[in-house]
Parts: sequence; C-alpha cells; structure tokens
Amino acid sequence: MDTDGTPGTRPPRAWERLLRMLLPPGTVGRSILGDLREEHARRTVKGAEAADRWYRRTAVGVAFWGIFRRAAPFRRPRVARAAGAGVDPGRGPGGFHTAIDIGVAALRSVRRSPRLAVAVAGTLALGLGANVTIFGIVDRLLLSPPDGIRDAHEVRRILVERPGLFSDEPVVVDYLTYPDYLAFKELGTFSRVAAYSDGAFERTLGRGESAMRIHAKTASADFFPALGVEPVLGRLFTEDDAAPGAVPTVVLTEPFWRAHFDLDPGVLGRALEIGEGTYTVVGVTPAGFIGADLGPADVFLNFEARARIEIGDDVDEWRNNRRQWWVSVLGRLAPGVDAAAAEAAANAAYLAPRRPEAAETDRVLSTSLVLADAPDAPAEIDVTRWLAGVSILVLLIACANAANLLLARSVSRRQQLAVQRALGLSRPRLVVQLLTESLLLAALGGVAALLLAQWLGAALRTGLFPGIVFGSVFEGWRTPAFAALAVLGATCLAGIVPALRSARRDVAAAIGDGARGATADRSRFTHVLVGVQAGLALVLLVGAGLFVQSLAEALDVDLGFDPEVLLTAELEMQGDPPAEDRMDAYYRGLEELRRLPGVRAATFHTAGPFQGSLLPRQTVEGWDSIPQTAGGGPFANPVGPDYFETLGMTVRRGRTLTAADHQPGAEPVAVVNEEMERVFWPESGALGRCIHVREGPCNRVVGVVSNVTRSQLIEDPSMAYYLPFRVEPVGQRPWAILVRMADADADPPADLRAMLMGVSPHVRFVRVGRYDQFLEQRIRSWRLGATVFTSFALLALLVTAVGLYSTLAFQVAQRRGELGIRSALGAPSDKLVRAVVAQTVRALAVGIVLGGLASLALARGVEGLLFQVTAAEPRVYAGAAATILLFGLVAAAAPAWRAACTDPIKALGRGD
Amino acid sequence: MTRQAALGEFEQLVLLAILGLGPEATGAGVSARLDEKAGRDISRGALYSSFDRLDRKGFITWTVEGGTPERGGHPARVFSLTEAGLEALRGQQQALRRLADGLEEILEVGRS
Repeated sequence: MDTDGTPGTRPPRAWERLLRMLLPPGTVGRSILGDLREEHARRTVKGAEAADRWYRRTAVGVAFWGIFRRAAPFRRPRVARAAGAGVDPGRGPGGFHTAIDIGVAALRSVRRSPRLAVAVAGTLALGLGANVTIFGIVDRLLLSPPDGIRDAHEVRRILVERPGLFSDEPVVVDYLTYPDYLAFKELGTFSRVAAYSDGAFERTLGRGESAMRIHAKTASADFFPALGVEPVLGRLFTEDDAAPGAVPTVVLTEPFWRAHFDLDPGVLGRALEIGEGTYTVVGVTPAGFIGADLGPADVFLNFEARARIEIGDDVDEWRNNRRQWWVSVLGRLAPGVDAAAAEAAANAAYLAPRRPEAAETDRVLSTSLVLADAPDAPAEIDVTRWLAGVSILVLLIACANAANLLLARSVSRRQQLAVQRALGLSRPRLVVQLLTESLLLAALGGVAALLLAQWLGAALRTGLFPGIVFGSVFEGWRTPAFAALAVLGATCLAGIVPALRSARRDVAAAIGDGARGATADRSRFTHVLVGVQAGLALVLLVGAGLFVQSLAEALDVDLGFDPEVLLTAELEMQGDPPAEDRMDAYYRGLEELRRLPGVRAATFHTAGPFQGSLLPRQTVEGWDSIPQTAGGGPFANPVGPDYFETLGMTVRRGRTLTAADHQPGAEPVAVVNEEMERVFWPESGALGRCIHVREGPCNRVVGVVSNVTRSQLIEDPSMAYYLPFRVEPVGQRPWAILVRMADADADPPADLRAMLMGVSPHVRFVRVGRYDQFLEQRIRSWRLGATVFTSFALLALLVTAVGLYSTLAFQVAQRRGELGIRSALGAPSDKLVRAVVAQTVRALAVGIVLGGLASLALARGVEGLLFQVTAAEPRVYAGAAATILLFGLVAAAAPAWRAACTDPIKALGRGD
Repeated sequence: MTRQAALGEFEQLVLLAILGLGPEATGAGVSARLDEKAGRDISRGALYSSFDRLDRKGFITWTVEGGTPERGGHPARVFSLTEAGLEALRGQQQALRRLADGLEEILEVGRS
C-alpha cells in the first residue's frame, strides 16, 4: 500500500515535520497529524494550492496549542485499544522535545510566581543596566575608535615627544609643523597621510540674527581616503582644493545636512559663511562619521583653504615655516607595514632637517585613534576605568540579592520539586530546569538593562561627557554581546546555588515535612549573602564619599575671585576691523551694559583666569633679569575699566585703575599683585616702581591687589600686573566682556545678546556664557566620580535593603511555627524582635568590617584621582557604615515587628 | 448523579457533533461536521483544546484506531461520549427546551 497517498496530495513536508516536533509525543500528537492529513486530502479536491495554504495556516494554530499543552499537568492515563495494524505506542521524548519541555516549564514557573519574577528580574535589570551603561562608556572611550572608519586599527595618529615650553620635562604633543607633514606624505610606510584638526572649533555660520555657532573640523584631501570614507552626496576633498587661488571648500556631515538643509541635494555648490571666510559645499559624509576624534562635528573645512583664510595667504608663511607647530597629522599604514616601522621612518624624516641635538630630545611616536591612547586624554578616562570596576560590584550585589530571593522561593517549592523527583525527574534535569528559570529571569533583566542603558545612559553620558559623541548602544555588536555575557554570568552567580540546593532536598523528608523544617544552614547562607551585599555596598559608599568630598574641596578653593557671579560675552567681529572700530564696539558695549538694571559692573579682559596668559618681554625696575619662581610670570593683563570691581578683587595698597587711567594720553600706570610685590620689592613695596613692557615707557605702579588663580585650581601663586588696555604696546585684542550681576543667581538679561550685537556694525555674533564653565571643565572628573559613585551606591543600598526585607519577611513567615511556640511559652515580644534583628545586625557588621578593609585597599589606588582627600578619611568611612546599618535596620524593622506580633494560635494552627 | 460542571456553548456543539458522527468521530470529522451543520469554521487549536477540556471533565473518551493511507499511516482518535457526558448534554438540552418553551414562534425553532 502506498502510505504516502498519490503525489500532490501530501501536505507541505517541512510544515508537517515542524508539527511533528512541536506536538506532544505519542498517540495524541500523531492522531492530530493524521486528522490534518485527512483534511488536507479532502481539500485537495478543491485545489492543491488552497489545501496547502489551509494546512500552513492551521499548522500554526495547532503548533501553539501543542506547545502550551505540553506544560499541562498530569493526564489520566488512556487505555488504547488497537484496531488494525500499525499502532504506534508513541515515541519517547527526544532531545528537542526535552528542550521545549524545559523552556515551557520555566515559563510556567515564572508565570506562577509573578512577584518573585519581577523582584528577581528587576534586581538583575538594575545590576545589568549599570554594567551595560558603563560598558557603553568604557567601550567608547577606552576600547573603540570613532565610528565610521574603515579598518581603524590601521590608522595612526602621529605625535612628537619633545621638551616642554616652561620646563625641560618632555611632553607629547599632537601637532607638528607643516613641512613635517609634507615630509611624512613622501614616506612609503604610510599609504595616506592627512593633516587635520584634532577636535572641533566653534565657528559662526552666517551673520546677524540668523547666525549660529557650528562645530567645524578641518581636513586635508587625504583625510577621508585615509579613514576609508565615501561621500553620500557630491564629492570629498581633492588636492586641487588645496592649491593657491582655489575656491575654499567645505564638506558637511550628514546630521548637519539633515537638520539644516532637510537633505536637499541642492545644497551642493552653495556658499556658506563660516568664521572669517566663505566656503562652497562640495559633498556630505555618511551618517555616524564625525572624524578622527570624538568631538561633535557639523562640517569639515578644507585644511589649506582654512589656513589661508585664518592664518595668512603668504604661501611661504606657513608652508615652509618650521617654527610654528599647528598641524595634527594622521596616516594609514601601508599594507604589510607595522606601526613601529612607520614610526621609525617618520622619525628619520622628522630629524633629517633638524639639528643633530634634536635626536636626543625629540622622538616621533604614533597612537591609535582610541581616545584613551591620546596624549591629552581627559582625566575622565581614569575615572571611567574605576567606574568599570564599580559597576561590577553593583552587579555582584544584584546577583547576591537575586540568589537570596531564589533561595527563599525554593523553600516553598520543596514539595513540588520533591514530587517531581519522586516521579523520576533526574537530578541533573532538575538542576537544568531551575537554572533555565534563572536564565529566563536574567534574560528579561538583560533586555530591560539594554533599554535602561540606552535611555538613562544617554542622560548620564551627555551630562558627564558633554564633549563626546556616543553612538547608540545598539549599534555595533560589542555592547549587546557584553550584555549577553553579563546575563549568563548573572544566571550562574544568582542561580547555581539555589538550583543545587533545591535539587539536593531529601525527598521523603520534604514531602512529609511540608514547608516547615530545619532551615538552619540555608539561613546561614542567606546571612552570608546579606553580609556580602553590605560589604560591597560599603565599598561603593566609601567611593562616593571620597569623590563627593573631593568635589566639595574643589568647589571650595579660593580662586581669588568668584567665577559664579560672572557672565562672559564674546564679541565676534566681521573680518578684521581696524583697532579703533574694534575698541569702539567694546567701550560702547560697556556703556550700554552699565545702564542695564541688575548689572553691577562690567569690563573686558584679554587674558585671565583659566583663559591663558600673556608673557611679553618686560623689564622691572631694580632688576637686571626676571627671577624664576614656581608660579612663573610676571604675566601681563591689559584690562578694561572697572576690572577689579567686576572680578571682586581686593586692593591691598594704593588704588585701582580709574576711568582717567584709561583715557588716551593718560600717564601709563599699572597695578601689581601681591606675589609680584613679594618677589620684586619685598622691603620697599611696589608703589611707585616702574615696569617697562618691551620698549615701552615706564608704567608706574599705583596699587597692589590680591592674588588670583591663573590656570589651575591649586597652583603656586604667579606674578601678575594689570595695565589699562591700550592697543600698543602689548597689542592684544580683548577676549571677552565680563559682567557682574547684582544678583548672583539672576539669569543673563534676555536682550543682552541683541543689545551687544547692536553696538557696532562690525559685530557679527555674540556668545554669552557663564564664567564658571571654565571651572566646570577642571572639576569635571570629580563631579563624574561623585555622581556615578553616589548613584551606584544608592542603587546598591536600595537593592540590598529590598532584598534584606523580602528575605527576612520570608524567613519570619517560615519560622512562624517556631516563633509561635516561643510566644506561647511566654517569651516577651521584644526578645523575638531582638532575635530577628540580632542576626541581621551581625551579618551586616561582618560585611561592613570586611568591606571597610577592602575599601581602604582600593582607595589607595584611587587616591591619585581625588582632590585634597586622602584614602582614609575617617568621616567618610564612619558615615558609610552608619548609612548601611541604618538602611539595614529600617529594612528589618517591618519583619521584626511582625515577628513580635506573632499570634501563637494562628501560627501553630496553620501547620504549613 | 448529574454532573454539575458547566458546559460551554462550544463544548455543547462539540459533544453534539461527536454524538452525531458515531464511529466517524475523529478530529477531522468533528471539524467538518461543525462547519457543515453549524456553519462554524473553528481553529484546530480551539477544537483540540475543547477535546482536552471535555476529557478532563470526564465527558468524553476515545479509542485509537490504526492508520489509514489517507492519514499517512498516522493513528486516529475516535471520540465518544461517556455516561457523564451524555447526562450533561441531556441536562443542557432540557434546560434549553424549558426556557424556550412558549417562545417557539419568535425563535422559529422547527423540527426539521
């Protein structure tokens, strides 16, 4: 007999095979297959296609039914009466069936106890989320080059190690001279060598009311080919763009093109006014590409074109100038060449035109494009490394918590598990079953963690690393792979002990005993876990405390002036107006400002705290040469009127600079700071002395003011003097207008920008900010450490407290019988409370002590990152320990109270 | 001993179909009969779930018959009502009749 029927009447083979796998084994499943075959054969009469379609549709529904049915409880055995040949007793469960059975059983188990599932998955989600977030940051800063670069490991940044400016300590710099760049281009060890700017400068696009600031990087023609970038519109730079007389060109980034030109292809050929020049758009780079560094980028200006516009058109001026160091260089290694060989070749080319002595002090190196390898990597990099360790701590705490919850749950499942064992479910299978449940919960936590990392992580990243462009955590494979790995790790850590312990349960005792029974060793393990969590939480709290204290110290430093009350307003001029027109604008601006209500004082400066320093050649009365001091100087500060009042500097002796001193033709005067007086004229005092700037006349000292910080939070005092601003002889341009508001917390006046833009037709753009942004840059690493450590520490405390609460609550419920007996025998309630609490406190105390020791050891390693704080600040440790104890006691309070209120009759009567 | 377990509307139809088919009450047969007599095109998943439920309630039982060529050699379950199932169905039908008494015209219940 042809059991297959006539050809063409068989249902789709693959679907039938699928159903065979998914349906319950045995008669039931096979009879269903038979039903469907029969029906299919009947429908074939109406058309084979229709029949196949029906089969597929029906198979889906039946498959789902079959899967869920497998999870159904025991069925009553059927009596099968064979009729005719070919009775199949049914196949035994095979490997795939077992896998599905396990999976479905895990799902059912999770659905049966939703609160536990939420607690465990939630705890793990928090721990995993912290890790994935930090990993995202670690990956971006420490492991990966910027996005969009082909074979980024073959691209090297070229650096030079040479003696520093102010000392002989060698420094590594990432800019060379233009002739060096040309020499490197000739080397065979690099297939492409490009000049570029590292990081973006903000330049103004357009003018007037619609002007805006954009991030402009510069790039030479070989830049994009070196990075393996193709345009998505138009073309990228060519060597012709660099030729003298060529039209200056600009390449847009895709997000900029999208945001400001709506992806209009007509943008090609448009002329954009950027900075001091006009550039023609020639192309657009792909989305995700931001250049060779992590700073934001809106456009790329042609390197040589920009140099011509902003530095000077004299070709000899910069193309042959070996004294100006301003070009950053990168190169792609030629095939088969390694970095060391390329460095050696570049070194030879670098030294060739130089004096022989240079070979002893100078050396060419290269690094990868990863931010952490850069010579001027921000301090946040170090803090990030520590954060990676911190996040692992949080995960450990979360796993310990989850393990505790799972252990507690396993107790109430003892009966069920024991029955399953008795019915023949092998121990390994049971362990696998329980681990699968843990895996399921961990996986749920992992998915939530990825989402958490993407959304909350984005806020964290932009808040703490504002200058860095992070991609999405879902781009690339690294972060999801890390998340998967973490999920597996969490499953093992959290699930293995509860699984092994559950499977170990003595069968008979469990069934007969019910859920009551000795849980001594399990409870000890629980307490160990609580202690572990407490210890880890302490480490986090100590870290938080140390960084918070650093931050407080940093904010507390006396800078000599108060940056928080100062606003800055930079006036960007169109083109290069003559000096009188420029100064006209500034003085008029000051006049208008003084008229605004709420403005206490206004001035301008040319250099200043955190803003760079001027060190012209000068001679000081009574001294043949300038003595070297630790702080350096004397630094010149040409300033506008009312400078000292605006900054809040105190005059110690003599007078400040008055409006009269600023008039043209007035006698040249100066004010020195205390440090300068101390160094030059310690006995006689500074008043009346002369200072000559270059070949200028005597600037007579008329006053002495307090010291102000120059460039670092903590530094040796530097010598400084202040002159009324003159175009000659110091010849600097004002850098910004400074405004001191009467009310420190007031917002800048709304029309400040518009008002300042109106003071002169030459003013193209006004940028208003607060002075403390410069301070903020310097304290960012402590703020980062403080923020993340504190958040993680609070997270850890929360997780520990919730875990402690639920574990204790469960324990109290379990031991209700015992507590009921004690209460019936007359034990006073507070003794019961004390019993519950004492165990908890003991566990916490042990954890705190061990955690404290661990913290001390780790804090030594972190000491370099702190600010004026030692690793063993007693206040921090005491505070951390107290916080943990407090959280622990609060968490234990409710269960303890419930234990004390145990009604003995109810407790004993229930008997569960 | 009337079973007080409730009979869902769909379960009623399935029981009636099984009863009407006699020895041909396979899964395929019941589905065809429901489609033909009650105009119900039901999903197989729902049908097999109903079989399970009725089995659990003790209203049906089945025997296994050998495979035929049309079924590709797969066995067939032939369902039949148990005593309890018959009782339940009778009880349901009587309740319906009692309630519908006097409403024949509106309901247009015919005897054909």
